[in-house]
Amino acid sequence: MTSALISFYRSLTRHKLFAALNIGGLALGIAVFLVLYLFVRFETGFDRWIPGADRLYMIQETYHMPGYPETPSPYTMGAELEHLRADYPQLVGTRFWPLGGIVRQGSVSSSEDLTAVDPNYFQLVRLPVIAGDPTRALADPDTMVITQRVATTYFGTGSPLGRTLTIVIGDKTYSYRVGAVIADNRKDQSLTSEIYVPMNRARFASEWFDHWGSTSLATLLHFPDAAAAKAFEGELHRFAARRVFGDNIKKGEWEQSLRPLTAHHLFDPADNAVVTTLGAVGALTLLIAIVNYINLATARAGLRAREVAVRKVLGGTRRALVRQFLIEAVATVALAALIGLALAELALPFLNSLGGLNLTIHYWGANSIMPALLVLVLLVGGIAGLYPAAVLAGFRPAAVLASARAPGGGKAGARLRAALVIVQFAIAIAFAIGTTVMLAQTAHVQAADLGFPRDGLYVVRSYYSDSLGKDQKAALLRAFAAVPGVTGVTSAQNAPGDQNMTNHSTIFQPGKEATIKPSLMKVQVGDNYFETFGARRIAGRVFDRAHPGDDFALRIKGSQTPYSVVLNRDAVAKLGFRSPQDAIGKPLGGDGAMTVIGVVDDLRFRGPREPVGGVVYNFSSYPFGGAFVTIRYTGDPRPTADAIEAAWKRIAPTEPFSGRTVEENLYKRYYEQDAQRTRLFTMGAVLAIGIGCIGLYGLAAFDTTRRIKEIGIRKALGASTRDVLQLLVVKFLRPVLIANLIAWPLAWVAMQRWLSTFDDRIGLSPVYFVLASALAVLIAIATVIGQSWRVARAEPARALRYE
Amino acid sequence: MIQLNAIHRAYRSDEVETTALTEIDLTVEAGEFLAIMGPSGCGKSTLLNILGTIDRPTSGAYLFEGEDIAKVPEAQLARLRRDRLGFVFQSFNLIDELTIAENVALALAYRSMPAREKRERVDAAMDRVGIAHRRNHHPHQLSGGQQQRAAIARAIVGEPKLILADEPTGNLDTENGAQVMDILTRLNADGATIVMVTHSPAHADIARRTVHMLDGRILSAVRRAA
Repeated sequence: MTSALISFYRSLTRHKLFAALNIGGLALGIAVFLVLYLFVRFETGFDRWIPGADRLYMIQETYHMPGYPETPSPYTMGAELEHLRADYPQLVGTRFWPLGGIVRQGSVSSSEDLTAVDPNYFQLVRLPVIAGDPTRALADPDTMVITQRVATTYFGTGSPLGRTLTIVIGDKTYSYRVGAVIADNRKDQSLTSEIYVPMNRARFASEWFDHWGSTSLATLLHFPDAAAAKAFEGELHRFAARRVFGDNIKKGEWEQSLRPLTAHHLFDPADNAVVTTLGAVGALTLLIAIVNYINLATARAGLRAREVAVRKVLGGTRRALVRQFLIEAVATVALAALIGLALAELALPFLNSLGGLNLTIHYWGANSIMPALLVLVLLVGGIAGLYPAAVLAGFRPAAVLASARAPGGGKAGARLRAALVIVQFAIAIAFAIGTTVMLAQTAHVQAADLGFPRDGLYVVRSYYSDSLGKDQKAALLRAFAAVPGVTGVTSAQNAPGDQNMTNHSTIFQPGKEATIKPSLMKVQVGDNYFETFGARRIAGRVFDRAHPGDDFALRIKGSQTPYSVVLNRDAVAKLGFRSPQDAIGKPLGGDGAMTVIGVVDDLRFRGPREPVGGVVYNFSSYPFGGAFVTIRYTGDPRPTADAIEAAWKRIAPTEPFSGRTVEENLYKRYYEQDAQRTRLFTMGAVLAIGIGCIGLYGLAAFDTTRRIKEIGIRKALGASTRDVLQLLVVKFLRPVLIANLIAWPLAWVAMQRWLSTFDDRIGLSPVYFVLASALAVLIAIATVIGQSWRVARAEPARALRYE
Repeated sequence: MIQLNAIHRAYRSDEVETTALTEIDLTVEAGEFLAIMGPSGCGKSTLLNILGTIDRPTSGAYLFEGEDIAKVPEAQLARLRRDRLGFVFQSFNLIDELTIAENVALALAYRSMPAREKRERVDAAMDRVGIAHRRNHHPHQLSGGQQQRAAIARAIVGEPKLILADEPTGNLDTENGAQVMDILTRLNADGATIVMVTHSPAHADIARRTVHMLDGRILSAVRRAA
């Protein structure tokens, strides 16, 4: 054992280049794998840490209507649980109703995440409790449960229990007493809130609370096991037939099912695909590194044939030799794992900030990575050690001497290495293509035409607040317009990055409702909407107060007089008009009588993944609910934002202000995550390619060393330096070129699928493939030439003396 | 054909400088058969390597057919070796992964020549040394004598003007050694210039002139009548 370790140490220090390539490459691979493993474990571990989370299910609703997204929504009508309990008395469930609140302390107001929950919420969703009994607390209508953070923010270090906060919910002010404190929200928690108040229909419910088809809150059901949950899904269909279907919602258009709480976080297939992809990147990078390691180990073993021959002559048994190689291999892999761990630790803070993550390595306890690492070391070490052990122990000492090439494990060994190089480069090239496509798509999305210039726009989100009076709202609009640099102000039920009111209506051309009846989004807008955004007018005109028919506010309730609407390009197509021009002046029905006065180009207010969809705009001069303000300005954003906030504080001093530039608002919601994940993927891919090159470099080094004498012979026979380089490069280029053939279709399918998750996407051009492959081939050639150059140029006599 | 003036060759490692050749003056006439003798380490092989342009002298002039080789770039030396030189080594230096025919053809691999002509010349060279029946074997399947004859075939397939042989019989038994010497004598008779390093006085006697070396110097030259 000791002699084996000494021999191991000597072989490390004697072949420094090989040792560095071997251990460095594997360490890098292990580091990449560890980081991405942590990421996948974080993403797939959402809510699983909550005791009993696997027994909780959210009711989700899916609409089957043309033009309406088929994505299931995990929110239901407010009173559904009450109706279900009436029909199924044994049913255990609870509700989570995000309301939002404003905490008032003298003249200071702060927005807080506030949620109304049923009193049994904390019995089912067992979040860690710090103080008090949350279930008992919620039994009292004026008692609340708060997080540790809220307790510290408002009550300092003293005990918060029994103390009160003044909270505005909707447009009413309440006083709540602290009944219990729970631990702070975790990053891997789906349903989060800072303040929990008891569910109170009388206080918070609007008419929508009992309206089927509305989506107010999350309804959670508790089942002892998956089978019981599955069985109850059938009951939900019968329940809908009994209670739901009627004039408002028709059978076949709407359906409810159950979503496990633990599946909620990655429910979107696009998210799931990203996590799977990054997991695959980690696993494949590790695979490349392992292949590398095994390749180099078997190759290097050949160079030690002489040592083995001498050991054998001196009486070393096959068994002793095998043991020596195994110990060496496991020790090398263990060293690599240690370095990999250190690299991962060093990289984590950087990656966390780059990827917006909070990953940590746990060495001990339930989340320990030690067992996985140990298995990895033994497995890789075992495989990497066994092959050369078997090959070398089988060398006939006599054959080793009289050969121009040092033995390299024979034809089988060479073929295995070539196959492994192909696998490695196929993965690396596929990664390179993937990275190129992802970076191109990210760049495209960031520069894409959204239908409006996104610079110089500012969204005041707090304008949405219910507690603003209509005079305040009008005054705010006037004050914003007076801010220096502001060139346009509008209010509307949507803004880039914000779209709280997603009212869809079934709209049609009278006479065609039998065949074309799409579900379109209705958006109410205030003055100067299209002008402020700079939307492109395609046909007709936009709203104008000079036309009395344009103003929805002037319309007498129940009137049959049509009101003016503007369509976007997509709605024109969905409604079956031949062209935008064709739609002008045409009547529409479905949500009162409408007349199309104009068509504008699509405005992409959400991310690149969601389709813009068909939109029907109508105009109201009266301040309406659920609106955001969007401001167009020129010049420096900082002072403009400050002036806007100052105007807000002057007119609505008790309301918390919230505003952001459109770039921020859109980027934060829809682009940031993609950008972060692209960065993670790029990091993994670049390292995978790097490790692949380390492997190729090592193999080239090995092959060149092994063939030094042959190169000498060839040169003595008149081969020039170029001839020799060509010989070596072509040999290594062949597997790299074959790898391309494998990589292309793989990358094509994977990237096609990834791109299909975007509504606004680039075409999958062959350019990316050619580019990535050319890069891989260039790197391969440079790697091999870098290694062979010295040998190819050396005096042949020196090579011929080489043993 | 060849003129060496004051050739000096030193090898430098980290600590020491070893002198392999000192003040070598040597002339080789076209059509000559020259033997170089001397104890191990006296610089015979180094001299042969320099003659073969696979090693460069530290100083001194090397005129090959009147041209100073010391100043010629590496690519041109490769062409010179390809077109005018043939090598025979003591340890044969055949490539295991290639067959005998492929090893012989290697000497033509870097010339532009129709494939048919290459094949004919390879066949002719193998016929000449009597190993044509072994054409598809690999080197390790052949005896030492056969391997050396294959190496000679490789050396002559390019029809070189100068054949350099480094102890061509050193690894062979008497009978095989005699066969190799026969072949070399015939090649010389056919017009090739041969420079051969050998330990065997009997084989040196076959050459027309013998040069004795000791410690990197030429001691004497013995010339025999033809």
